[in-house]
Amino acid sequence: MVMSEFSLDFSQRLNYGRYDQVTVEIVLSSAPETHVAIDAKVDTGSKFCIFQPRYAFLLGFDLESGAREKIRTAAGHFIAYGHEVALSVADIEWDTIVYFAEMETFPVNVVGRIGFLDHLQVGLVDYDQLLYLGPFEAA
Amino acid sequence: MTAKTLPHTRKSSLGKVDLSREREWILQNRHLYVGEWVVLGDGDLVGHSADASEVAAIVEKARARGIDTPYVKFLTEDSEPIWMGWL
Repeated sequence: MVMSEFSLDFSQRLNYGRYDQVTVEIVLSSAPETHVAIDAKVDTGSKFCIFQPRYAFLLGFDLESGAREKIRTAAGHFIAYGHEVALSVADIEWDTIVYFAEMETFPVNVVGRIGFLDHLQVGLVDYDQLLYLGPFEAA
Repeated sequence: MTAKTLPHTRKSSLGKVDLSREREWILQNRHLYVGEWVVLGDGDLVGHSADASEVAAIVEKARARGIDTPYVKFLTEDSEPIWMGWL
């Protein structure tokens, strides 16, 4: 019999079986009361959360007034601008900085470590296509 | 080593995010709108355009209909290369 010394509690279980990748349904909000719903791929290898630039405009941001970052990828690099939003997933919400790519044709929306994973506890059972989430709790 | 700041979360003021109806709509209708932005609300299409600059007007139309949180998505070809992640 194997005994584990570790356990985590999750308040939410999301099924991503209707998507082709590990995907979360989120809402980005900017003041005052401007919301947009997006589906985003979970990418543990991405340092930041990066979205297509159109969403910045829909949230009322002047894209290039945000914090400029040059982001390196396996295939090159691109420019993105950071803006402060409220990010909601399931019934959990927090304020954070997310980035919007400069390139209009940027192909994906991605949630990564800073701004997403660093606010949560996450469990993944890919066989069942289930993602377990809960707010981060200090040990 | 710098001390990390504890993240603060709260219960969402929007309730639980659930785009299952929008996802179902996408699965059923994607082929009709490839290469376009679609704006959905309450599981129904509000508008669509291949011109990204027109999306804001469609979103405003959704909000005027009482859809506070429109779902906005650009629909790509299913046959596009597989996304490998790791930005």
